[in-house]
Amino acid sequence: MRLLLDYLSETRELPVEIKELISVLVDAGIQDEIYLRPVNTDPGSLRGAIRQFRKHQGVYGEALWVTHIVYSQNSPLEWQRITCAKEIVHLFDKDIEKTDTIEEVMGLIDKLVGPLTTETFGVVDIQATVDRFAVYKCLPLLLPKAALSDAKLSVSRGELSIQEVAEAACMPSELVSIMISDEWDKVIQLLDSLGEDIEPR
Amino acid sequence: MNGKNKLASVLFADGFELVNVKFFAGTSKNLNAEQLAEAAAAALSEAHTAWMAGVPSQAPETGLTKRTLMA
Repeated sequence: MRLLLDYLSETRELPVEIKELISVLVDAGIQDEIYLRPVNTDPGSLRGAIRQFRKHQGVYGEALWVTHIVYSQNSPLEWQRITCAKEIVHLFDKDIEKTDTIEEVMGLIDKLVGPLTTETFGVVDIQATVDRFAVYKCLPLLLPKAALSDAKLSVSRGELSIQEVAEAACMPSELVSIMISDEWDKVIQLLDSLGEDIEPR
Repeated sequence: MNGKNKLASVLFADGFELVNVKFFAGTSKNLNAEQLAEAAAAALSEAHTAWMAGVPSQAPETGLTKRTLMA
Protein backbone atom coordinates (compact mmCIF):
# COMPACT_ATOMS: atom_id res chain seq x y z
CA MET A 1 0.00 0.00 0.00
CA ARG A 2 2.87 2.34 0.89
CA LEU A 3 4.23 1.73 -2.60
CA LEU A 4 1.08 3.09 -4.23
CA LEU A 5 0.67 5.99 -1.82
CA ASP A 6 4.23 7.10 -2.47
CA TYR A 7 3.71 6.77 -6.24
CA LEU A 8 0.64 9.00 -5.95
CA SER A 9 2.08 11.43 -3.40
CA GLU A 10 2.37 14.37 -5.82
CA THR A 11 -0.54 13.44 -8.07
CA ARG A 12 -2.85 16.37 -8.75
CA GLU A 13 -4.20 15.26 -12.14
CA LEU A 14 -7.36 13.18 -12.19
CA PRO A 15 -8.63 10.62 -12.81
CA VAL A 16 -6.15 8.02 -11.60
CA GLU A 17 -6.68 5.01 -13.85
CA ILE A 18 -6.80 1.52 -12.33
CA LYS A 19 -4.29 0.25 -14.90
CA GLU A 20 -1.75 2.80 -13.61
CA LEU A 21 -1.97 1.25 -10.15
CA ILE A 22 -1.67 -2.25 -11.58
CA SER A 23 1.46 -1.28 -13.54
CA VAL A 24 3.14 0.04 -10.39
CA LEU A 25 2.40 -3.20 -8.54
CA VAL A 26 3.54 -5.54 -11.30
CA ASP A 27 6.67 -3.48 -12.02
CA ALA A 28 7.55 -3.71 -8.32
CA GLY A 29 7.18 -7.49 -8.42
CA ILE A 30 4.30 -7.59 -5.92
CA GLN A 31 2.71 -10.35 -8.04
CA ASP A 32 3.73 -12.18 -11.21
CA GLU A 33 0.38 -11.31 -12.73
CA ILE A 34 -2.66 -9.25 -11.77
CA TYR A 35 -5.61 -10.15 -13.96
CA LEU A 36 -8.74 -8.02 -13.99
CA ARG A 37 -11.98 -9.28 -15.43
CA PRO A 38 -15.39 -7.60 -15.83
CA VAL A 39 -18.11 -10.17 -15.10
CA ASN A 40 -21.81 -10.26 -15.81
CA THR A 41 -22.79 -10.33 -12.13
CA ASP A 42 -25.80 -8.70 -10.49
CA PRO A 43 -24.26 -5.93 -8.34
CA GLY A 44 -27.06 -6.58 -5.88
CA SER A 45 -25.35 -9.90 -5.11
CA LEU A 46 -21.68 -9.14 -5.72
CA ARG A 47 -19.78 -5.99 -6.65
CA GLY A 48 -16.47 -7.78 -6.96
CA ALA A 49 -13.85 -10.04 -5.45
CA ILE A 50 -10.13 -10.72 -5.30
CA ARG A 51 -8.53 -14.15 -5.39
CA GLN A 52 -4.80 -14.52 -4.84
CA PHE A 53 -3.26 -17.90 -5.53
CA ARG A 54 -0.08 -19.76 -6.34
CA LYS A 55 -0.16 -21.87 -9.48
CA HIS A 56 2.24 -24.77 -9.13
CA GLN A 57 4.08 -25.69 -12.30
CA GLY A 58 5.31 -29.26 -11.99
CA VAL A 59 7.28 -30.82 -9.16
CA TYR A 60 10.37 -28.67 -9.57
CA GLY A 61 8.89 -25.59 -11.23
CA GLU A 62 8.58 -22.31 -9.37
CA ALA A 63 5.10 -21.33 -8.33
CA LEU A 64 3.47 -18.47 -10.22
CA TRP A 65 1.94 -15.79 -7.97
CA VAL A 66 -1.31 -14.66 -9.54
CA THR A 67 -4.15 -12.34 -8.53
CA HIS A 68 -7.58 -12.29 -10.13
CA ILE A 69 -9.79 -9.26 -9.54
CA VAL A 70 -13.37 -9.43 -10.77
CA TYR A 71 -15.81 -6.55 -10.90
CA SER A 72 -19.44 -6.35 -11.95
CA GLN A 73 -19.73 -4.81 -15.40
CA ASN A 74 -23.31 -3.95 -14.43
CA SER A 75 -22.16 -1.49 -11.74
CA PRO A 76 -21.71 2.19 -12.65
CA LEU A 77 -18.16 2.91 -13.82
CA GLU A 78 -17.42 4.84 -10.60
CA TRP A 79 -18.29 1.76 -8.54
CA GLN A 80 -16.33 -0.54 -10.86
CA ARG A 81 -13.28 1.60 -10.06
CA ILE A 82 -13.96 1.60 -6.32
CA THR A 83 -14.36 -2.17 -6.45
CA CYS A 84 -11.01 -2.65 -8.20
CA ALA A 85 -9.25 -0.19 -5.87
CA LYS A 86 -10.76 -1.86 -2.81
CA GLU A 87 -9.58 -5.26 -3.99
CA ILE A 88 -6.11 -3.89 -4.76
CA VAL A 89 -5.87 -2.87 -1.09
CA HIS A 90 -6.16 -6.55 -0.17
CA LEU A 91 -2.88 -7.29 -1.94
CA PHE A 92 -1.34 -5.77 1.19
CA ASP A 93 -3.30 -7.78 3.76
CA LYS A 94 -1.21 -8.96 6.67
CA ASP A 95 -0.93 -12.71 7.27
CA ILE A 96 -3.68 -12.82 9.88
CA GLU A 97 -5.95 -10.87 7.55
CA LYS A 98 -5.60 -13.37 4.71
CA THR A 99 -8.52 -15.71 4.12
CA ASP A 100 -7.02 -18.97 2.89
CA THR A 101 -8.85 -21.92 4.44
CA ILE A 102 -12.29 -23.25 3.62
CA GLU A 103 -13.50 -22.52 7.15
CA GLU A 104 -12.33 -18.90 6.93
CA VAL A 105 -13.85 -18.40 3.46
CA MET A 106 -17.26 -19.65 4.58
CA GLY A 107 -17.03 -17.70 7.82
CA LEU A 108 -16.19 -14.53 5.91
CA ILE A 109 -19.15 -15.03 3.56
CA ASP A 110 -21.46 -15.40 6.57
CA LYS A 111 -20.00 -12.34 8.29
CA LEU A 112 -20.28 -10.10 5.22
CA VAL A 113 -24.04 -10.59 4.98
CA GLY A 114 -24.68 -10.69 8.71
CA PRO A 115 -24.12 -8.37 11.65
CA LEU A 116 -20.45 -7.49 12.10
CA THR A 117 -20.64 -7.66 15.88
CA THR A 118 -21.89 -11.00 17.15
CA GLU A 119 -21.09 -13.28 20.02
CA THR A 120 -18.68 -15.19 17.78
CA PHE A 121 -15.18 -13.78 17.96
CA GLY A 122 -12.04 -14.86 16.16
CA VAL A 123 -9.89 -14.50 13.08
CA VAL A 124 -12.88 -14.42 10.72
CA ASP A 125 -14.26 -11.41 12.61
CA ILE A 126 -10.94 -9.60 12.00
CA GLN A 127 -10.95 -10.58 8.32
CA ALA A 128 -14.51 -9.28 7.85
CA THR A 129 -13.57 -6.00 9.54
CA VAL A 130 -10.52 -5.67 7.28
CA ASP A 131 -12.78 -6.27 4.29
CA ARG A 132 -15.09 -3.41 5.32
CA PHE A 133 -12.22 -1.02 6.12
CA ALA A 134 -10.72 -1.64 2.67
CA VAL A 135 -13.38 0.57 1.05
CA TYR A 136 -12.07 3.54 3.04
CA LYS A 137 -8.43 2.59 2.61
CA CYS A 138 -8.78 2.55 -1.17
CA LEU A 139 -10.14 6.08 -1.52
CA PRO A 140 -6.72 7.85 -1.52
CA LEU A 141 -5.74 5.66 -4.49
CA LEU A 142 -8.37 7.40 -6.62
CA LEU A 143 -8.29 10.81 -4.96
CA PRO A 144 -4.68 11.19 -3.75
CA LYS A 145 -3.68 13.58 -0.97
CA ALA A 146 -2.48 16.47 -3.16
CA ALA A 147 -5.55 16.27 -5.41
CA LEU A 148 -7.80 16.07 -2.35
CA SER A 149 -6.17 19.21 -1.00
CA ASP A 150 -6.95 20.97 -4.29
CA ALA A 151 -10.51 19.65 -4.18
CA LYS A 152 -11.09 20.89 -0.63
CA LEU A 153 -9.80 24.35 -1.54
CA SER A 154 -11.88 24.56 -4.72
CA VAL A 155 -15.03 23.40 -2.93
CA SER A 156 -14.47 25.80 -0.02
CA ARG A 157 -14.06 28.69 -2.47
CA GLY A 158 -17.22 27.67 -4.29
CA GLU A 159 -15.30 27.07 -7.51
CA LEU A 160 -16.27 23.40 -7.71
CA SER A 161 -19.11 21.33 -6.31
CA ILE A 162 -18.57 17.91 -4.75
CA GLN A 163 -20.33 16.45 -7.79
CA GLU A 164 -17.81 18.13 -10.11
CA VAL A 165 -14.92 16.77 -8.06
CA ALA A 166 -16.50 13.31 -8.19
CA GLU A 167 -16.85 13.54 -11.97
CA ALA A 168 -13.21 14.60 -12.37
CA ALA A 169 -12.04 11.76 -10.12
CA CYS A 170 -14.60 9.33 -11.62
CA MET A 171 -15.72 8.32 -8.13
CA PRO A 172 -19.12 8.02 -6.43
CA SER A 173 -20.02 11.47 -5.04
CA GLU A 174 -21.05 10.01 -1.67
CA LEU A 175 -17.49 8.77 -1.13
CA VAL A 176 -15.91 12.02 -2.32
CA SER A 177 -18.22 13.81 0.10
CA ILE A 178 -16.75 11.77 2.99
CA MET A 179 -13.21 12.69 1.92
CA ILE A 180 -14.02 16.39 1.63
CA SER A 181 -15.67 16.46 5.07
CA ASP A 182 -13.89 17.09 8.36
CA GLU A 183 -14.69 13.48 9.27
CA TRP A 184 -12.06 12.23 6.82
CA ASP A 185 -9.20 13.38 9.03
CA LYS A 186 -10.69 11.22 11.80
CA VAL A 187 -10.87 8.24 9.46
CA ILE A 188 -7.19 8.78 8.59
CA GLN A 189 -6.31 9.00 12.29
CA LEU A 190 -8.21 5.79 13.05
CA LEU A 191 -6.59 3.79 10.26
CA ASP A 192 -3.19 5.25 11.13
CA SER A 193 -3.65 4.22 14.77
CA LEU A 194 -4.32 0.67 13.56
CA GLY A 195 -0.99 0.67 11.78
CA GLU A 196 -2.53 0.94 8.32
CA ASP A 197 -0.76 2.80 5.51
CA ILE A 198 -3.18 5.51 4.51
CA GLU A 199 -0.99 8.52 3.67
CA PRO A 200 2.25 8.98 1.71
CA ARG A 201 5.46 9.33 3.70
CA MET B 1 -24.33 -28.22 -5.64
CA ASN B 2 -25.08 -25.18 -3.48
CA GLY B 3 -23.33 -21.80 -3.69
CA LYS B 4 -20.83 -22.44 -0.90
CA ASN B 5 -19.81 -25.79 -2.38
CA LYS B 6 -19.39 -24.19 -5.81
CA LEU B 7 -17.22 -21.48 -4.29
CA ALA B 8 -15.09 -24.03 -2.48
CA SER B 9 -14.57 -26.02 -5.69
CA VAL B 10 -13.39 -22.86 -7.50
CA LEU B 11 -11.07 -21.67 -4.74
CA PHE B 12 -9.53 -24.98 -3.79
CA ALA B 13 -9.05 -26.58 -7.22
CA ASP B 14 -6.05 -28.91 -7.57
CA GLY B 15 -2.85 -27.13 -8.55
CA PHE B 16 -4.02 -23.72 -7.33
CA GLU B 17 -3.08 -22.86 -3.76
CA LEU B 18 -5.30 -20.17 -2.28
CA VAL B 19 -3.36 -17.31 -0.68
CA ASN B 20 -6.18 -14.86 0.03
CA VAL B 21 -9.73 -14.13 -1.05
CA LYS B 22 -12.00 -11.21 -0.27
CA PHE B 23 -15.44 -10.18 -1.50
CA PHE B 24 -17.25 -6.90 -2.07
CA ALA B 25 -20.79 -7.94 -1.18
CA GLY B 26 -23.67 -6.67 -3.28
CA THR B 27 -26.09 -3.89 -2.47
CA SER B 28 -29.25 -5.96 -1.99
CA LYS B 29 -30.68 -5.60 1.53
CA ASN B 30 -31.94 -9.18 1.41
CA LEU B 31 -28.65 -10.71 0.27
CA ASN B 32 -27.86 -13.98 2.03
CA ALA B 33 -24.69 -16.05 2.30
CA GLU B 34 -25.76 -18.59 -0.33
CA GLN B 35 -26.50 -15.88 -2.90
CA LEU B 36 -23.17 -14.15 -2.23
CA ALA B 37 -21.28 -17.44 -2.47
CA GLU B 38 -23.10 -18.39 -5.68
CA ALA B 39 -22.33 -15.04 -7.30
CA ALA B 40 -18.70 -15.14 -6.18
CA ALA B 41 -18.25 -18.69 -7.47
CA ALA B 42 -19.68 -17.76 -10.87
CA ALA B 43 -17.60 -14.57 -11.14
CA LEU B 44 -14.30 -16.13 -10.08
CA SER B 45 -14.91 -19.16 -12.28
CA GLU B 46 -15.60 -16.89 -15.28
CA ALA B 47 -12.35 -15.01 -14.63
CA HIS B 48 -10.39 -18.22 -14.24
CA THR B 49 -11.73 -19.62 -17.52
CA ALA B 50 -10.94 -16.38 -19.37
CA TRP B 51 -7.45 -16.23 -17.87
CA MET B 52 -6.70 -19.82 -18.80
CA ALA B 53 -7.94 -19.12 -22.35
CA GLY B 54 -5.55 -16.17 -22.67
CA VAL B 55 -8.19 -13.45 -22.72
CA PRO B 56 -6.37 -10.17 -21.90
CA SER B 57 -6.77 -8.44 -18.55
CA GLN B 58 -9.30 -5.62 -18.67
CA ALA B 59 -9.34 -2.84 -16.08
CA PRO B 60 -12.19 -0.33 -16.10
CA GLU B 61 -11.10 2.79 -18.00
CA THR B 62 -12.64 6.25 -17.72
CA GLY B 63 -11.68 7.55 -21.15
CA LEU B 64 -11.33 10.96 -19.51
CA THR B 65 -8.48 13.40 -20.13
CA LYS B 66 -6.48 14.03 -16.97
CA ARG B 67 -6.79 17.48 -15.43
CA THR B 68 -6.11 19.26 -12.17
CA LEU B 69 -8.90 20.59 -9.99
CA MET B 70 -7.40 24.05 -9.52
CA ALA B 71 -8.35 26.83 -11.93
